[in-house]
Amino acid sequence: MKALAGLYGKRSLFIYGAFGAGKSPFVDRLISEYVAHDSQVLWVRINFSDFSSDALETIDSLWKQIVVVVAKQTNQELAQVTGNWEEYAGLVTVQVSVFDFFDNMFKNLDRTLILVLENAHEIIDKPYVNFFFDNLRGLIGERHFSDALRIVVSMISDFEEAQDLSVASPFFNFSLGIHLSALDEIQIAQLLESYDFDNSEETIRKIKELVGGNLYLVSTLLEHTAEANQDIRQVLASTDVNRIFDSRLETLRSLISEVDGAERILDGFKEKDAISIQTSNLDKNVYDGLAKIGILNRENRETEILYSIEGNRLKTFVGDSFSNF
Amino acid sequence: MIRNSKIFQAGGWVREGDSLYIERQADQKLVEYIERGERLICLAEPHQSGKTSLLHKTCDELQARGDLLAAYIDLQNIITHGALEMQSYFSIAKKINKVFGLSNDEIKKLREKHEGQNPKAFCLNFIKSLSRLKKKIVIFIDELGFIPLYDLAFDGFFSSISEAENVTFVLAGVFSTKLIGKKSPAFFDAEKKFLPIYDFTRPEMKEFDQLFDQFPNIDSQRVIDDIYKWTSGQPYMSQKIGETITASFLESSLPPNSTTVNVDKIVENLFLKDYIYSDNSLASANANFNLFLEDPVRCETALKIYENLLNTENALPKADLLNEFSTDSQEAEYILDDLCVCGLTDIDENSNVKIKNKIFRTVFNEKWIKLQREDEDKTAATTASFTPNE
Repeated sequence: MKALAGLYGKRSLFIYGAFGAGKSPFVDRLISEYVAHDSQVLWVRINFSDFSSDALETIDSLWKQIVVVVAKQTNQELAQVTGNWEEYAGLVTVQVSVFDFFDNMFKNLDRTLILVLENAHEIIDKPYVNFFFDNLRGLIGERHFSDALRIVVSMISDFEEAQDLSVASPFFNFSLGIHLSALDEIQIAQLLESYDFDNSEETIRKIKELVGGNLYLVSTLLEHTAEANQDIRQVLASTDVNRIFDSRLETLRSLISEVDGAERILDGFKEKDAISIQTSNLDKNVYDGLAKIGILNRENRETEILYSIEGNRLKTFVGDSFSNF
Repeated sequence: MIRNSKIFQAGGWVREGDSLYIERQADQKLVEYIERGERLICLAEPHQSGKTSLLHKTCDELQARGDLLAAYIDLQNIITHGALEMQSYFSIAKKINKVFGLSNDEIKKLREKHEGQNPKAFCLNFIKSLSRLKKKIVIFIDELGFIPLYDLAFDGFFSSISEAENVTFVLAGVFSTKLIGKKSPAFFDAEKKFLPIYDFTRPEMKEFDQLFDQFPNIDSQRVIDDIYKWTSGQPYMSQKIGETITASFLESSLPPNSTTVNVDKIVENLFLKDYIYSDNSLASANANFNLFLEDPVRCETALKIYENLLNTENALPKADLLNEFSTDSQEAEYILDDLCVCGLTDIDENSNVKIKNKIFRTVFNEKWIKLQREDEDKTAATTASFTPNE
């Protein structure tokens, strides 16, 4: 609702959350609900995961790729768009070309355009990432077409990283941050209800214990149960319940292995049943990397480990509160 | 005086007809400086202080007059990663041409003439060529803070400013004079007039009344007093609290006839609960502090100045504050300016210095100072780690 209200109020959005938090389904729903309200709006959805590594290599190549996709989806004459682009290529900065493209487009397009940039975390390690977000901010702040353009960015990120993304002029000044966090008990209960499953406190507690509120994993559990035509309580009681998550677990392991130093830390959990949280010298990059994947949930100054890899078992631990100051 | 009164707007610049805009002293002063012929006017102020709104408003008003030409340029729409000096100047020139309806043939010829050799000459000749327009010209350039971030040399631009007889430049942004001057020494040399934008005064905040009027049971004066107690009139924070209050009524989370507005609780939720990460205004103040005062010696001086202010509730005269650093008073003054541009401190018309407001005082407290003094990897001391139980 906050996201919709933001778009109706001409705000751009920044949707972020851990891996599996449900960003894509959220965008799907956002589009369908907005279109129900205003069918004249044009949505252009771009997934950075679909771009080649060449396209993501420089800020110039990225913008050019985005412009080409937007041009195609708004039925612009591609030859003219690329011609205009090439006329000043090298003479002006890419941001000027991007601005001119949108400026020319909106002279002929009598509709609002909502540009969705998904999986923007694909550029998180690029040297130009901060500048790209500053460029976005420049576009949505541009008075000539700011009423007609909104940008929705979605990516795997957490709050602190999101804050660091804009260098000079924060993207958040213009955009509304929508953080998709782990599901709470009420939300799990609602999901169970939608499947017509038992939604008792006990069932919810077991689900939280198993998968820590991760939407991806909760959905996997519920879909599996529905397809198998079983009772959720039976599934949760089964000794084989972990097998449901095998393929997801592999994806998770692969993500964890990309966080330098994470495996070494999580190795320490293998033989243990519980983990105590202490304030010590954990490398911030490891901490941030695990938070982004969804291993940790860092909100309201508490740190909760959502699950640990211990063979095929998933377990939830709640850590002590900690304070930055 | 207000321009319109539709809604509160926290974040982004205020467009006429959309949201609450409150005129301040800087609105009149800017026009005054332009009319008296200042060549270079600088607005170096923190994020969300109203610079862009002021520039757009003034540009529109001057354009409407008809006796001069005005253009607004946002460097965020021009400069990008990897931009070269010549590219940046050509891009700015093209933008100005577009606003004034001029052909790009001349600048293309100029560029060919100076290709690969002399961006400064290109810039100088372009600015001089504006004299042919036979009208006074005002060029507003926003987001100047981009220049050092992109590690760009803009010397050619700054040294050209004085060459155009009929052009006034108004430069705005979150920028450190020292940082810009590092790569563009001409900025130090250019004769410039700094125009401060002071936060709302309490009387100016009376304009919030009309947005609270729709909730007749609210004691709006008391609410505005409470907001001012926390924000000291900082525009973004004041509007954000106002926006939250009106939203909570409109979303019916409070009964329509409620008189209960707990500003302290709203401030806690918006700005205090996660310290610098509670709100972007705080995170960017912290980020700018780390950027502008990266040098350890400068950082320590800044922290000492800030600590002195933290230890007193009152504002301190600037001369007294900087007295301790008399061996390099010019540098200390630059450092104090940087602290103000970050948003952590304010200097009033009488050269008294204080911490920005109660929110900043609460967040950027002794522990923040301690963290700044510790190792670069500050979050090591504040981040939890996981070790298996023994």
